[in-house]
Amino acid sequence: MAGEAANELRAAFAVARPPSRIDASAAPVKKAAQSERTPASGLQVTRRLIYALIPGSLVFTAYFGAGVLTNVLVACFWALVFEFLALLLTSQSPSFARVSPGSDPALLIPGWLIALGLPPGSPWWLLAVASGTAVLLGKHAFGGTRNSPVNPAMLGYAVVLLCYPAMLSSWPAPSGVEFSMRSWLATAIWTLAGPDVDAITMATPLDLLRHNSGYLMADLFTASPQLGAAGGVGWQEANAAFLLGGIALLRYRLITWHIPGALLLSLTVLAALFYDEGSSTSGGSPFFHLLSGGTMLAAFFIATEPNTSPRNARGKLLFGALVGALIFLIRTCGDYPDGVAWAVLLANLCAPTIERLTDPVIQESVSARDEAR
Amino acid sequence: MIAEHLLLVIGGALTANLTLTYLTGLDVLAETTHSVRAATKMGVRVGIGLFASSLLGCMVQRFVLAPYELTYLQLPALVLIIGAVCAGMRMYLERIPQSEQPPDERTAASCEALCDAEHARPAVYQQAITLVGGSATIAAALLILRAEPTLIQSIALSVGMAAGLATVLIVFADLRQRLDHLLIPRAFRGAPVHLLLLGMMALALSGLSGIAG
Repeated sequence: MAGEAANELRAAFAVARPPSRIDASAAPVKKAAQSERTPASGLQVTRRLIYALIPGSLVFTAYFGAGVLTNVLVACFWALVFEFLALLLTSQSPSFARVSPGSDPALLIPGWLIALGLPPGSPWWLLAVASGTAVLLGKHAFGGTRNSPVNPAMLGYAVVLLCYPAMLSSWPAPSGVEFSMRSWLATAIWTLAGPDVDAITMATPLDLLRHNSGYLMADLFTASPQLGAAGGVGWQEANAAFLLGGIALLRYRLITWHIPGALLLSLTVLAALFYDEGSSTSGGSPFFHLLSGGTMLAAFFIATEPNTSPRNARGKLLFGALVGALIFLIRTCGDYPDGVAWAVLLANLCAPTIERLTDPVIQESVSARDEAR
Repeated sequence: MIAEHLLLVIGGALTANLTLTYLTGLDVLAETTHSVRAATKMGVRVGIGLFASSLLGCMVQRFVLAPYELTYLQLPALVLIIGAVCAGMRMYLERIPQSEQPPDERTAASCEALCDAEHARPAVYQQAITLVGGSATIAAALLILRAEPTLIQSIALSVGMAAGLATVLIVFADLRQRLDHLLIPRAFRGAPVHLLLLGMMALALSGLSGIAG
């Protein structure tokens, strides 16, 4: 009886084509990379993406403690668990080989990105909710990574941000500002048993600016040591490290310059236009916006995901500029301190429209299809 | 002054989006987003209808209902206004050459009888929705009247709401077009995946809360 039900369920979720979609071709290889003489294999892509993420993650760990690493480990664990569950439902023969990180870069990377976005030492269930939403709803409901209309990691992050806003605002104070470094053991207990009420938390620089409008920028920087020199202690260094990782991705030809370039440019231009160097109401300086929050992570690792962004160069430029503008808009006017996740989600959903408007070939095929109807 | 009204337009389009925040106009969404062209056409049409009817509604409220203390007649008055606007639009649309707009001589009653006919379905439904204006039109008028705006403010709000609705229709049509090429798991094919997508759009738009004041 139970077996029958399971079979029916499996049949209902089964995809028509043989379950071989998790292969090297499923790798997020951009057109540029595909035209290379030796296209990178899935394992290579995963490895390179992880190499590019490592410096930033290590800098984060240095400033915010072991919680960053436990976040990454727990989120990746849950991503694999949910991936296995989804494969159990969608394919006839799930095997551990299919959920090996080498087969599909989209296995670990969403978990990793979610882990970097959530406060260090987040409880296990928070990471489970975020990873589960990302893998099950963001990816497998649509039939796999290549079909997903939005960035799965940002979907998972947005859902937990909406459901548990308080949990997501409790960032530990960066080291060097206040002693908050915890031992591995304390972090592990924290992750398993829930957040420590005695933990020293501090508003992130973006939070601080969002909730302190009407001050003089200079006063705010003197009163709040965590703002550091430009984008906040820990944040500016981590963003610089992610920038390095992003340059590595460009060199590996996993991404093209269009999206990061347009994103950073539009964010810089908008910040420069509205910043008046005095009041904190006008939003931070361009440097502050570039080096705070998840800017570099968004520019090089999140917005550039090939399945959810336009494929043509003009579309990419427009897409990147849209993400940058939305990040600035949400940071300065919206209710949320950092707009990266929302901006990327909104732009992802507009990507097909952007692609149609900027690519005459696609426009023609779409109108031909409409004609045929 | 201008900035204030611009904020109203943005607020009407994004933070008070008819489809994604108030879940109205889903009938229009379901029926017209099968093709990008139909969605664009419908977006423009519903936008114009929405703009005209909420503007008229505002004027009636201001010059007739409020002075004579007849505000309890707001809803019937709005229904009448929307009916009149839609009838006017229909008369205008029927004058457009046949290639662009198939003339529909059927009455509303025979519309429903013809629903099952495969070939007639989209056209008939589109006509029916243009006639009724969908739930979005009346929702927009009520929402705008509830804010008790001045005439210029109501124009700004209705322009914003119409633009927001049209944008959602077009973006959703493009997303649907893309989904048509994909192999979606059978359990999610069709309506479930569309609803999921709509949920994602609503989720993403909720991130913009607060930008318009």
